[in-house]
Amino acid sequence: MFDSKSFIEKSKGEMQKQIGGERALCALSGGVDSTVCAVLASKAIGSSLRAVFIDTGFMREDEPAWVKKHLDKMGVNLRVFDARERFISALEGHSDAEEKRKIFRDTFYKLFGEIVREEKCKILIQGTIAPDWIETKGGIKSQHNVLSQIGIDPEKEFGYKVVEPLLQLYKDQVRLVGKELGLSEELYARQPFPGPGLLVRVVGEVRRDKVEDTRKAIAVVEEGLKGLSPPPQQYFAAILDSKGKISEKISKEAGEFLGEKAKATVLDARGTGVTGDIRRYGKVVLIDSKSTDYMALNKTQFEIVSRNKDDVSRVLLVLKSQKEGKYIAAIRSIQTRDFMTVVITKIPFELLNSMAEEILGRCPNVKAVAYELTPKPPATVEFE
Amino acid sequence: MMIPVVEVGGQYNHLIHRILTELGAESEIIGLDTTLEKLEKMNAAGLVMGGGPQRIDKELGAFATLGKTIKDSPIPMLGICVTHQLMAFVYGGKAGAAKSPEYGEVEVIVDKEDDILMGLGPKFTALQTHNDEVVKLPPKFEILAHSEHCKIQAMRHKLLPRFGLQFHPETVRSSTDPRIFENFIRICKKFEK
Repeated sequence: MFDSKSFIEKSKGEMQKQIGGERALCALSGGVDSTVCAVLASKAIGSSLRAVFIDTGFMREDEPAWVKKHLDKMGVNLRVFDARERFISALEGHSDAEEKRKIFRDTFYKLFGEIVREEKCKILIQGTIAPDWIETKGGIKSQHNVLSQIGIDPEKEFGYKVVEPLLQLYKDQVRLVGKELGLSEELYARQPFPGPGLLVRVVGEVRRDKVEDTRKAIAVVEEGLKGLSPPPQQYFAAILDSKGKISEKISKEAGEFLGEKAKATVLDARGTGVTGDIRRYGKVVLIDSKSTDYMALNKTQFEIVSRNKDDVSRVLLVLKSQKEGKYIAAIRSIQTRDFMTVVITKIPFELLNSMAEEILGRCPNVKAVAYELTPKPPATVEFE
Repeated sequence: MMIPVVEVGGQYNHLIHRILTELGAESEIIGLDTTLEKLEKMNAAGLVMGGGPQRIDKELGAFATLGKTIKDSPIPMLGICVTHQLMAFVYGGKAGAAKSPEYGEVEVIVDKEDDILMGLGPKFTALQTHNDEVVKLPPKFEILAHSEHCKIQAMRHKLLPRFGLQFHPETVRSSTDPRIFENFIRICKKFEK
């Protein structure tokens, strides 16, 4: 089995060698990986470490303050950098998932370059883990923190060397390292949060009001599912544009597998998926049906994605809707060990419906709230 | 005991490495350019080959070296997904587009509870994510398992330690986790003697 104690010892030694007495900067997003990475680095190189949290504006409610408070407790001195306007103005109006991720990555590393020079550091330590580079190298999605593995030389491109102590680990192993390092359970057991944050949950075109609705919907889901047992490994909401067309063909297929009348709308919105090790940027199908039978719902998503393999990547089930609104809010909750494959959580429909009501109440632009039925594969965990 | 993993570009190749290490074997990730000499130099007791996005009938060139190694090296080999299809090709069978691609858990029915599927009969669920499959079994091979849409979910050479699986035993969505790798390690140990 994985031995977190010896990993920490080995990794501390390697970092000391790689960094060699230089000042190093560590980037934090508030997620588990970067937090564990920062604490590990602080144990390895002590006061030579500068920790920075960039508030990209794509953060959860109250995230910057939460992270600062907890890192201070761990003895990591954190500098919070407000870059909200810089990120939103770079991204506003862009729709394509990969384009958005790449703009985010470039904005992020350029800004980092500035901070690195200001802090007189030559090294950036970051918490990239195995699924990040596996997905990026495989062309599934461009994780913002993956550079050298896809041929970007950070020293040439941005002016600093990158050190990545967690590169060979999976999430469950990172948590064990965090626990061994003495992080509180609140920190090491925290659900993952993507580096680009809410950006990958603001599906399609980026707009300021859409980011706000996403933030509110996520807060409802995090609050609603936090007591669920067994706990899901990740749970959040995404916001999609509601425009789409009813498909007779898919309505019929869905009806057949659900044994219930079903109306299927193919949204214009696209979501990222992975099938046969290949990226699939397909459309999102919204099913309106009374069915609450998870086995039938799972069979339905399987058949719809397999039969429409060239254009559909994800399937959602409508929970509640109202007449007007330009957005769909999608609740996503999953179970997994390593995040390379996941299944959806079988949440009681009563609980799903009450979260749906609350989201409709808090986000007036949302027309319908749905639950995502697609596992990974064929979908990915995040929408983009 | 060293059991390297050939990285073919799929999403779960690195997970194979993780499982083998957790089961107590030594493992290293190696490339598609792996030759017989390299395996001998590493003192490999067995070889696991992962999945990948390639299509065997269209991208054979990329597999020329590995294909030769499969034929030349005597050590036990396990091919998963695209390398299961490669193994079929190397021994005279055929791989091509599946009539019904499968993306998700599928029930796999065991036809023969051979060494590699030991303890998994009469059926199990396994994660599938494939567009292609083995469409013609190579001579001297036998089918070990099938599913509703895919006739050859698992196969083996009747005389040599060559095993192929269409599904992904290295993911937690397969109920076989980690049985098949325990079986493969046992096969390698037996072969070493």
